[in-house]
Amino acid sequence: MVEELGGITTDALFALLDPLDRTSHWTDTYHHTPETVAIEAAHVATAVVAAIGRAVVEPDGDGS
Amino acid sequence: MNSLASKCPVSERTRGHENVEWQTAYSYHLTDDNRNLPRVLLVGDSICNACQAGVRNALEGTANVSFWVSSCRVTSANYLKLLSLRFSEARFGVIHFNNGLHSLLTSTDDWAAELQSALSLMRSARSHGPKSSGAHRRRLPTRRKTKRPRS
Repeated sequence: MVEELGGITTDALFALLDPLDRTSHWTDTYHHTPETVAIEAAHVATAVVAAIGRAVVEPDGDGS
Repeated sequence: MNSLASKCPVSERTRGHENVEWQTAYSYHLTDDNRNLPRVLLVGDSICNACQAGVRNALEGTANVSFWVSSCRVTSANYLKLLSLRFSEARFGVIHFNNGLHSLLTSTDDWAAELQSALSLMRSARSHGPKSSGAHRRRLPTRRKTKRPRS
């Protein structure tokens, strides 16, 4: 799902979406159907959770 | 030079404006009991705008998801300033960057060079705040099948 690019983790959304049928998953040249957006959001959320696990996050007391 | 760039040339490596340029940014849980959860910043375009709510809902209670979505691209004038502004507003544990479709008419070489500048800025933001993890997506496929963009 992810690869490294210059020290930055790359979320392979292209690989997720590119195999999908254009007629049923795209609403125009660029944008996706709600069902496809949900697939994408779930994928991004999973990638973010994994990234949080790799990050050392030390939030301030004021939440900044 | 493409037709869009020729309308408003700014510099050799900077794309001109599109006819309509737009930006939207939201931050959540800045003061409530969830304020200490890890902060996530989604940076992108209309594709990111469409899925940010789903990401935010999926991570509710796990992370605070902010987003900055716009028609701006790495080759836009002042892009790095705008990106710096977002980074300055909070310390982000994760930055998810998905901003390539508005660069489809940009020269690949110019885009790659400016992308490196944006990535450097992310690294800098990471080193100046709590350690963060950048998750980056170059661009998404369009309805018309094209070759996968080169790395």
